[in-house]
Amino acid sequence: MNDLRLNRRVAQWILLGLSVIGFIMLGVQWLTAPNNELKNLGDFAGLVIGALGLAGFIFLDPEGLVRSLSGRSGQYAVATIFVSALFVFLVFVVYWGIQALKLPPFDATELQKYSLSTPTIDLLSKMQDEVRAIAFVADNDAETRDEVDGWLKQYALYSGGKITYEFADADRDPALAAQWEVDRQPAVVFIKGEQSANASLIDESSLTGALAKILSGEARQAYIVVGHGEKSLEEFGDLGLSDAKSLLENANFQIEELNLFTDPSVPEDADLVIIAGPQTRFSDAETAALQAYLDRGGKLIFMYDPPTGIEALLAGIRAVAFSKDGSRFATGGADGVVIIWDTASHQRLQELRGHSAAVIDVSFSPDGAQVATASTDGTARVWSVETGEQLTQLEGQTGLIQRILYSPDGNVLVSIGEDRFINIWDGHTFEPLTSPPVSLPAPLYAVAFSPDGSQFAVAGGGQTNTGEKIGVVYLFETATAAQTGDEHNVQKEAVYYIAYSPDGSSLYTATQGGRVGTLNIATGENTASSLYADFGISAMAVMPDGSQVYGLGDGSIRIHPADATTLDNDQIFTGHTSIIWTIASAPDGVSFVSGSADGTLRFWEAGQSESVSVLTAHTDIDPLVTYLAETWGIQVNSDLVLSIREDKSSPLAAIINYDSSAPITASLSQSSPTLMLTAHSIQHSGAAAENVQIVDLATSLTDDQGGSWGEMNPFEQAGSNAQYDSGEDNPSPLTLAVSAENTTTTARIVVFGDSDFATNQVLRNYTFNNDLLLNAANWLTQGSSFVSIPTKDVGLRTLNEPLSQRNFVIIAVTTVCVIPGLTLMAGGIIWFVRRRRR
Amino acid sequence: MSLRNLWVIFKHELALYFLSPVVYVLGSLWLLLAGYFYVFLVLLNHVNPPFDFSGQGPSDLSVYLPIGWLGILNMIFIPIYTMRQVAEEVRTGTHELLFTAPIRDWEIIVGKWLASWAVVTLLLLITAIFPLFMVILGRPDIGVIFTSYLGLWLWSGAGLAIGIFASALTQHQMVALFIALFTLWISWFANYAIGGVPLQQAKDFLREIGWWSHYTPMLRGRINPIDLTYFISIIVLSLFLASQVLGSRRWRA
Repeated sequence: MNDLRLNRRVAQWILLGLSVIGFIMLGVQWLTAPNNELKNLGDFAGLVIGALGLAGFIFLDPEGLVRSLSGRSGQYAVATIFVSALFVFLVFVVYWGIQALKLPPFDATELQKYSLSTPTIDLLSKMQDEVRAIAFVADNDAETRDEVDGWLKQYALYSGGKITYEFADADRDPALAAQWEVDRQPAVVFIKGEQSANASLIDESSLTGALAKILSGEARQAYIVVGHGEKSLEEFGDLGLSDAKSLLENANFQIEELNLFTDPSVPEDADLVIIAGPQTRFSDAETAALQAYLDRGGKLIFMYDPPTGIEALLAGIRAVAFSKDGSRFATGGADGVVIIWDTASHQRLQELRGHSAAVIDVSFSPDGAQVATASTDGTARVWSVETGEQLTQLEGQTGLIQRILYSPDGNVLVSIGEDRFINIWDGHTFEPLTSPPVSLPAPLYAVAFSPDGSQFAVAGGGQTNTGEKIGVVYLFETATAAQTGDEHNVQKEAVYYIAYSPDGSSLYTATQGGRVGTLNIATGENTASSLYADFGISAMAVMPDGSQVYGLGDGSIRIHPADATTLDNDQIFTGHTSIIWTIASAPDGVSFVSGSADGTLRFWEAGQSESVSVLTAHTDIDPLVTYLAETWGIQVNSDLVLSIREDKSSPLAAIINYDSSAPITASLSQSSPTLMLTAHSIQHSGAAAENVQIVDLATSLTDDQGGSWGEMNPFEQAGSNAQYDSGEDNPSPLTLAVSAENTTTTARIVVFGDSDFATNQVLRNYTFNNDLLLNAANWLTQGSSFVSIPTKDVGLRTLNEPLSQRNFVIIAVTTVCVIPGLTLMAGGIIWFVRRRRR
Repeated sequence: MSLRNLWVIFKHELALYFLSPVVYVLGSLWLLLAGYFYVFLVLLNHVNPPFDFSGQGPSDLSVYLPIGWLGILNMIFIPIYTMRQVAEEVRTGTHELLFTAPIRDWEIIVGKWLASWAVVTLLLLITAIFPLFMVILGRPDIGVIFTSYLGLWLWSGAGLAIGIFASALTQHQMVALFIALFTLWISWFANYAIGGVPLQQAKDFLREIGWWSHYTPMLRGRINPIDLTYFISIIVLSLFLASQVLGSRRWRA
């Protein structure tokens, strides 16, 4: 009997367990059924098992059950369990009820970061068609899911139920992800009929952009021009445009590369052409293709950085030399070309092409038949003036060659370089006369023959092993190539320019730092002074009367009388706008010529302060830039726009104010920290172009905002010590971007004086730049999906000033030491007091 | 309904907390960790990326606040505050005294819970120095700070309610501690287990019961009504069940 009761009890527990399992099965069935609807009979298997188990449990010992329930505590237990179950049920009902209401979240952020802006709400309220959205979020990424849900909830709400959405996990459902071309999570796909659009960023602008895309229909075709060192759409690094590409693709653009060198015209289907920071010039044919495209109503985004800084300085005419009879002269340019000119008519006789980098020295053979050239491509070459053919390439210098010079009789040719070598060649056969070359202790920068040709001098210098800066001159006998005399230590820095006095008795030296000196060759006596230290010397020549002609860094030229020790009697010539690279005195004895980085060659005569004539050469002006200036009246200046913001002392990159009346920039806030790292101001003249309407889009900071200016000085552009120089630099505010429309052809262009504002590095940090690019593209193509979402300014939520070490220490000590320490101390006091009371 | 009894219990329990050195040790340890998190986040976010010309830190200062980490830290600390609350009364038999007093079960439970919540609230108020530094040195989003603290405060209240319920289930402190720890961590883990569950309904269910998914929106300045409901539901449910369990001791042998 005892055993039987025990067995019955075991069976009872088993049945009870079975019943519980049955009910759990029912619960799982219910949770997993689509829409929580149980339809099939099989779904109720759990219920049957549970009910049968419970019935068996009761049936096996009904008396015992009644006994335990009818007792006092049994009644209490039943009541408690019933009340508890009812209460739990009630709480769940309330919870699911509130859940089902799908109430919109309360946005507590100051800028309503999680709330839709008016343009989106407008778009949603005008929706006609049903749109389905699938949000791809990793299942375990609760945070992102909540964020996406927060957005889509609002889209559904404001669309009046036109938008419905569901969640999916691309990792768990790769087929679905592939179907909608989702390759990374999180992403939201909007689907309308056959059309779909992906938003790969979870923010309002991306979501609304994708939605607008399927509401608007076909994609717009954009081409990005390649082949001129433009920034690349495929580049994911800091300087690439991959983010800009996905930004535009999100906005319903389809982007392809366009090589105008191989495709002679812009394709017919182009809705937009983008040129993002070309580094080399466009050809005439390429310019013509773009011009034809614009003439038929094309749209263009042009981001352009004109050369500035060192790049702008190392430009224009780098070398000039006369033939012995003065009938011809040769110029060498930064473009690597050598031009032979007729002196009287200023006609170009010959263009010598072959050097791959700037030509920095030219020298005529005395018979005028040949020209020797030295280039920063590391080579020296000799050319036939008559045919323009290259006669030979001289291999001798191992480092950067600096100068090449024919002797007055034309029998030898001397080249020198930074590699400290002197090479002497036969002037006719070009065989090396010195092998190995003569080696000297200092880098060499200048060479000159004495008037009779019997000797020549080389000069150079730099920093010695002991750190001392010296400028040295060495004298050589031409016939034997042997050094005569010792090293002459003549200056306190490297000598860059030397010239013999007309009688050959002394040697004039000059340094880039503005020091000049005279070395008496017979006695070795040297006088030196820093006469032009305020300007810097960049070229030197000597006139037949012995006066020296100096080209200065500020673009002015001085004739300094022989033996003068002050600047008082200097004759000053102005006209060049940039550094003077070269000066040559003409064999006629009165005139001289100067070549400058500004691309002009000016002829001067002693006694006349104005230049006699001006030639332009070696300037390499981009025909596309010319076209924009002439046809559209838009020109990008070669200044560098710098800003000073609030109380910060060091100049920063250009920071932008937007024009709130222009359609492109209307939605962009004024207070945003938008920036362009190397920007250039844009100048436009309405008069230049008929039927063209030009609107300023973005300007640099006004003086009230801290100030900005367009730095013109290439030295300051390149250095870190730039400051505003009234009269020289462009004053604020400066235009940094313009839009223009030709009302006749309907062509539209947007020009940015900057090409890096759309690079990944900048876009990732400055979201306003996103909007500027996108709005420009949208305005140009006037897509019906032009929805400009004002970006919410989050940029000012930083510390007021950099976190000082002192403040950090205060914070750290307070939070990690003081507060926990005080709490612990309070506990100690309590413990001590209570112990004593006991 | 008079709240006098509730007030008496609350005062009594609060006094017990403040007279116990253990609470101070726990509190100072919690504050030390909180301060460490804060300083760590300040350091972590105070980098000088190429575009941070100014060295003025991240674009949104609220990332300095370690509220998310404190929520996780509370999963460890909160059961310690509540573990002895009911269990100790039962073990020492003092609950018999309470039963004879004219006090209702729920008044005992809610009073104890309110006292524990007051202690935790005080600790949270002390950490208000964190956002205070930010307000002095910069311009953080006050709304986000407010909702972050609201979230941490509600989550602490919910955790304490679960702890009280666990303490009512047993007369052994350590058992109560482990029951509460287990419950809280299960709820946390629910959100992370979602990825391993194949069925949408099960995912939704896990997402609803996990506290983390209801907590994080508030850290970013968004208050979903359902999240408030979640925490309030846990508090109400746990306290109700705890008083039922306490009441059952009257008739259980």
